[in-house]
Amino acid sequence: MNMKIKTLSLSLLGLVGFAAGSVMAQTCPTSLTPPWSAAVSSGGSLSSAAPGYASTACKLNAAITGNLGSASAFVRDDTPANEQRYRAQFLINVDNLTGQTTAHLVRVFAATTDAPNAGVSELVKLTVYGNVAGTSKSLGILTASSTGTGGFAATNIPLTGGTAGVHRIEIDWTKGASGGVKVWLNNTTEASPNVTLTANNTAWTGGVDSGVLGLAQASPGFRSVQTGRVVYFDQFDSRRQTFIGN
Amino acid sequence: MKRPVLSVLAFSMLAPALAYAQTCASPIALDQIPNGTLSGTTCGGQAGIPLGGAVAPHPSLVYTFRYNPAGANGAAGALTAVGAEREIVIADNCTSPPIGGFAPGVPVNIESLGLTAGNTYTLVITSDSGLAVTDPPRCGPFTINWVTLPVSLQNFSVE
Repeated sequence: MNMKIKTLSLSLLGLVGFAAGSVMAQTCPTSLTPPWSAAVSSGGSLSSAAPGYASTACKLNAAITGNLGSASAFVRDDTPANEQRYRAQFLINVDNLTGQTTAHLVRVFAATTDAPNAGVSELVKLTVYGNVAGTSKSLGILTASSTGTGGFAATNIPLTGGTAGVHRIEIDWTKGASGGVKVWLNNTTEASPNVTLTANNTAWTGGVDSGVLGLAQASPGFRSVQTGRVVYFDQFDSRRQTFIGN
Repeated sequence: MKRPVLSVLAFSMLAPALAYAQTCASPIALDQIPNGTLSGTTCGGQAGIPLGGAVAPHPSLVYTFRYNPAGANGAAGALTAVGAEREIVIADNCTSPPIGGFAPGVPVNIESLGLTAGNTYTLVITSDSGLAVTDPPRCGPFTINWVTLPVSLQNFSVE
């Protein structure tokens, strides 16, 4: 079964099918909605720009531009509807976030529910941050858990590998007493996820209702140091059952 | 000035029994020990502390301290963690983004962090978050030295 929820490739702008040879000539649309349900850039900037990654025409550029607690720059897909299982994949390039430390934290993806529990609506939350010395970056992985600190089970994985700074990230979230999330980083082998984070999320009565891609929840350190630095996203895809791979 | 001395003694006696109890749910108040040194191991500590998303994935020990700037009840000064791969992360609490993080052996100037006088903060002793999670877990010994960590004397008497 291959039940796609959303394929928002080529910078999410409905440009699927353009031949690689026409990529550079392609003009990227100025509006991100549709295909996205919403584009939010309060204290941030969002745009579509050519070329994209992996032969796509355009990619999504996101940056935090204001030192506001609510500063964000993300797009949202409301196509999911109480999904009990949710897979998603996207490409990301954070190379512009130079000198990123532990205090320079930003969320890059979330799968959210309309039925939060204990104030937690993010069933999956992915972040990017550095180590304290600012010499390496990590992908923070959090998933809703009734037994975890603050409602999350959490771990991370070094954000390494990829090609020319572009990382392919895929998740598979499941609901249940032994639910949780699996994460593949620059890895298209379904049987070997890089991270398996088990969590009891039965206290959340709902499933995934939205996918959120872009920058949000930037820490004060991020907002003061990483302001204006563009993070690139591309090739978002989400499904209910089938591994997305490459 | 008997109270601080008694606090140190009390902590010293309690420390072995409290090994690995320094979790987000049960942190130990570090500012009970002025001008001190604390040694231990992060092995057996709490792993996967969210810190708002800047996850401390390796086994970690959690302390709290109440900040009082220099000139008030105590003086703020250098704080250093020693130990291979060991880091200090300071945040409002275990679910908040880090305010600052400091590499092994690098003195922390508490006053440089913009902390608010009178507030209580969380201090996490962990291992380099940029290193991969392993089995067995990445952990080991550490020593925290502080010259004059902000001290809060609630009251004292001279006898």
